[in-house]
Parts: sequence; C-alpha cells; structure tokens
Amino acid sequence: MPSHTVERRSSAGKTFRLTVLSHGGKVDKISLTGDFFIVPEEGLGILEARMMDLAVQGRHDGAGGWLQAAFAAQGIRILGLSSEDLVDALWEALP
Amino acid sequence: MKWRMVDFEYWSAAMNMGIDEAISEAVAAETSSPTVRFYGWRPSAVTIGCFQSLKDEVDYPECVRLGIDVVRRRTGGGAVFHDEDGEITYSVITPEEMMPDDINMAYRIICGHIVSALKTLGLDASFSPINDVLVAGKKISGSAQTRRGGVFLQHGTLLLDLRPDTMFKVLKVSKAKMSGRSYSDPANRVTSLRNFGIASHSKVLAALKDAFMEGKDWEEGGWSDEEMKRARHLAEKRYSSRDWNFSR
Repeated sequence: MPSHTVERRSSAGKTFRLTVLSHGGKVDKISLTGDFFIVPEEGLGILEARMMDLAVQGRHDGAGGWLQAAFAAQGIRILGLSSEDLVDALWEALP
Repeated sequence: MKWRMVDFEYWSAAMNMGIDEAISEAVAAETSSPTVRFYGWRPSAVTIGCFQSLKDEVDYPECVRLGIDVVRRRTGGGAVFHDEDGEITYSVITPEEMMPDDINMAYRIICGHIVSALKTLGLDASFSPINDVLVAGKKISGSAQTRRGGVFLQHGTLLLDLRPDTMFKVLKVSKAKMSGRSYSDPANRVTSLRNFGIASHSKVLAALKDAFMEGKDWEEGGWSDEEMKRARHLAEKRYSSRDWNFSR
C-alpha cells in the first residue's frame, strides 16, 4: 500500500511525522507520531480520525479551525503542535 | 493532604513505568497518598514518548547489543537515554485537582522545583517552556506529564553526567528535530551537573528532595504490597511487551 510521510518541526519546536496510507487515490489510514503531548492519550486516535475526515473533505480554508474545534469539543488538549501544523502537513502528505 | 516521599532506588525501565502507573491507580482509588519518588535506571534505558514510533526514534538492535532497556512511557514528549550512573529521575503523582488545570502552569510549577534545586547547588538555572530546564543555555532537565482517571503524573530527569557517544548510538536524531536549531551537534544542546563541577549524587538528591517537598506536609514512605504487586504485573504485561513498546 503506498504511503507518504511528512516529517516536520512544529511551530512550538516539537517534531512530528504524519503518514498517509492510500490505495487507488483513496486514503486508508492516517498515522501521527512525534514528541508532542496529548491529554488524554486516547485523543491521538480521535485526532487521526478527524484528520481522515479532513482528507475526505479535501483542501479548504478554515480546515485548521475546524480541526481545532473538533478536538476542543471532545476535551482533547494538545501541546507542542497546532492545528495549522497538522493541516499543513496533511495537505502535503495527501496523494 | 499528606504527601509521601519515596527515596531514591534503582529499578528496571519496565518496573519504573509500572510503579508510576500502579501509584497512579492507587492515588485514583484513594488508597495511596500523593507521591513524590526519586529513582534511577538499572540497567541504563531508553524511554520513548507515548506518541512516538520506536523504530523512528531508537536503534533497537544497538540497545539490545549494549544491554539497554527500551520502554514506551504513558507520557508524551521525546525519546530519552537514561544512563544508570548519569541522572536522577523524579515522578510526582497526585490527584488532578491538586494541580492547575493549565498544563503549561503545571510544568512551570514542577520544573520550578528543579530550578530551585539547581540554584541551591549554585547554578543559574531557568525554566524553558514547554518542559525543559536550562543551565547556561543548554538543557539539563526534561519532563513529561499526563493526566488519566483524575490523576496527574509528571516525571522527569536531571542529568548528572553525559555519555553522548552512547546516547547518540541508541537515539536517532532526525533532520526535522535539528532544523532551526542553533547547534548543529545535538550533543551540544545538552549539559550535565558534572560540567559545572558537581559530581555528588547524594548532594544533588538532597537538593532535589528539599526543593520538591518544601511547603508540603509529607513523610517518607515505601511501597505497599498491593502497589508492588500491581507494578510487577504492569511491568510484565504492559511495559515489557512488544505490543506496547512497538505499538507505533
């Protein structure tokens, strides 16, 4: 399965890797790793799922705000990584 | 509420993580007091952050060859090499309501204890957000925190000595990590107490204990049988398991 990984240093100085696994142009999985902080830790799976939603929506203005609101609504707190960091990396990693 | 302070002891990496989690569970169940513990790593170990990929961050075959433990933490943050003779590690485990809700503020408070201890030792230390303490512009202490089930956990290290050759044999440093940094050699970004002529483990530990426990109602204690049984179970079933350590 083709994969594309984007490795970045966030605006807060943390390192993260965003990997998109795709098949026939369709995104099958998004994986995020790095030295950032997410509380609670289960928030990472939710964040990856919301980024899958964004991948389906496609590139659009306001994606960062949408992602920020999505994890704030679930009480997820992220330190060292902004929604804009994630969205920029996602657009680059998409097939 | 009375705090418990558990004095320095050596454990394996899996047991150190198992103890932190067992205490967290006991604090959540209100069967244990808020706890500050000091500890070391025997054998030396690498820990990776909860959200890191072990294969991206660690030269695992080299760790095996050198007899270095590898374990995934419950806390975020980066990969750390814990030298058996080169650091003092601490954990603070307490009901969440005893700490500020603001994560940055909680880091500032607990890392402030490290800064105080270093000042006692005559060093001009400062907190560097998010989670570091610097001396002379270089990192000498790093910490990581999480909150689960109403319990706050922060653990971190204070470097007594450095073995950069071993550290950078077992840790992989990505280009992204170094981008925009003022030092091209990652070993130049960290320092240790030995670089400032401080080599006494007991003196540093005493300074840390004073700083962490100042202003608290506390007593020295040990582990209950239940905590130790649970810690051993977690060490074996979670922190020694390939499923956990290679989960990302």
